[in-house]
Amino acid sequence: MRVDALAATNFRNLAPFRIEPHPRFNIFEGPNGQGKTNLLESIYLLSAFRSFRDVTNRQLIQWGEQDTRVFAEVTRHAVKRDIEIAISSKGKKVKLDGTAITRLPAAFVHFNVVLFTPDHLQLTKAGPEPRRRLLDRAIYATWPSYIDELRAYQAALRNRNALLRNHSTDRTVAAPFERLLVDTAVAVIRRRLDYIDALTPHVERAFHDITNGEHTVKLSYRGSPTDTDDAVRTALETRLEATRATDERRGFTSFGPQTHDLTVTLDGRSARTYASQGQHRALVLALKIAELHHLRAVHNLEPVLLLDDVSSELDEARNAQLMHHLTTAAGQVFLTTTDRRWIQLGNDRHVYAVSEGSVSL
Amino acid sequence: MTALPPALDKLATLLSRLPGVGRRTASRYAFFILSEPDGYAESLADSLAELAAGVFLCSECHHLAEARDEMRLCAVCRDTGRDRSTVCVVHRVQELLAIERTGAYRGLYHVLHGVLSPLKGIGPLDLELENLKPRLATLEAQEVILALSSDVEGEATALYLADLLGGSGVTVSRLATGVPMGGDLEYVDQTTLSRALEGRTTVKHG
Repeated sequence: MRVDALAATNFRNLAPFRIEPHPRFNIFEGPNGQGKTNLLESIYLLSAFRSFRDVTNRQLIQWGEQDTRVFAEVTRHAVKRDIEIAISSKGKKVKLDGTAITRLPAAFVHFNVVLFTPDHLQLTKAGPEPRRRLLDRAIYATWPSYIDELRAYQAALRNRNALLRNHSTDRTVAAPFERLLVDTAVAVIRRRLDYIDALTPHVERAFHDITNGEHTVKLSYRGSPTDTDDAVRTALETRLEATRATDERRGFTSFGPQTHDLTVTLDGRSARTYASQGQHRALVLALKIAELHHLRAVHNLEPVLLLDDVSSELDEARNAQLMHHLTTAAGQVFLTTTDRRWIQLGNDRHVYAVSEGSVSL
Repeated sequence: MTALPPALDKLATLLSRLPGVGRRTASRYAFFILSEPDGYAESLADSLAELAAGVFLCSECHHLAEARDEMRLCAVCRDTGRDRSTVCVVHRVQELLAIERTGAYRGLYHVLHGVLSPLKGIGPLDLELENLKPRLATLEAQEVILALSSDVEGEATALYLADLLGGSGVTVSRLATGVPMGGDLEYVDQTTLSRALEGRTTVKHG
């Protein structure tokens, strides 16, 4: 997986640019607030068709302009593709090789990236919500149809919650929505369990390498049985019956995938509670490296890695491990930094200076 | 606030209720209608009046019917060549027309004019359901085909109808879902692919 060319107009604060990135390392260097992260965001948009920041379409468009356009030529499995996204106040339009894509999930598989930002360093410390989001995004980067399954669950959930809010007593209407709620929840949970199973060996290996085998890490899924689909279904049905009265009183569904969590334990104890600052960093680094390795195994390619000023947030030892990992892996990397000295990557690279929205080699 | 003659303003307001038409487009249309020669406005008015007075919903299946039919039946229900033992339930008239275009279906229809959606406040009483069971009994229907969309609202409506019609002696079936013609298997989502596997058909017996 490789970006051969990247261009954008009217994107955030960036002046119109076109670059032909190095197949290995691309460093965007400059002080804060110049537009470095916006460059990574433009690449990420072409993969996920949404930003990794919590923003509206309007915020992606340069102030005073009507629309923005981001374009890349990428090579995937030796096949060259053009990907373009145009964003206006009316929405997003994606083109693949000049042809409009109407069903976005099918296009996810055309450009694989892994993103690592300083926000991820909170992952093992924070509440469940960012972990669920990371899990869900990593899953649909792996299996694009997951997004349809998740949306079906969310539609069933919203409809059931509407019935609960309206104090509807008509069981003939509630029953079909409850059945679909369980069916779609089973599909979502199955994917999450499969993903965690597939990710686990990669996390263990990466964490072992980072900590020289001093600690053992374990991932688990909290909120559901984890063995068979039947066990998952039975647990959901039991909860549905047991909570119906209280859910009707409160007006929302109190169980299901939206309440579950990916938990990380370190030597058998909750990482969220017991891990030290250094251990949290090592865990997050291991999780991101594992995500990359897993994606590589699934798609049989090197995903493009996007690193947003991570080095300044890692301690010296973890940063050295990250750099070592990057130089021994084979993929293309885009990273931002305020200080090039953090980046110990040899000479296979382009260094771009980013200043007041201008990008120059 | 507006300097337009009231008639033009009223027309623009009515046109702005059309799907996809905003206030500016509506007033452009209104000016166009006003300035078009050869009695365009009068013909348009006549045709709208005819539509309002002349198109009803079929009293049997709720498809569109013309008022000059005394029985208030649509063309499908009037057609004596249709198979009256099979009834296909659809969400809207648009889906009925899509199935008709295939030419592959010779039975009758039942148009719900909606699907269950608690989120949008649409319940069973908002659907054209009242005469469904008596109608199936009168027709002595053998099979009901649920041709509803595969989203959550369509699926829930199908389950609701399956429960409603259970025990009434008719076979309830639903459309097969599968791989689109010309579709690349690699990019078909898993739900569709697993359903296509479940609903596979035999090509040759060994």
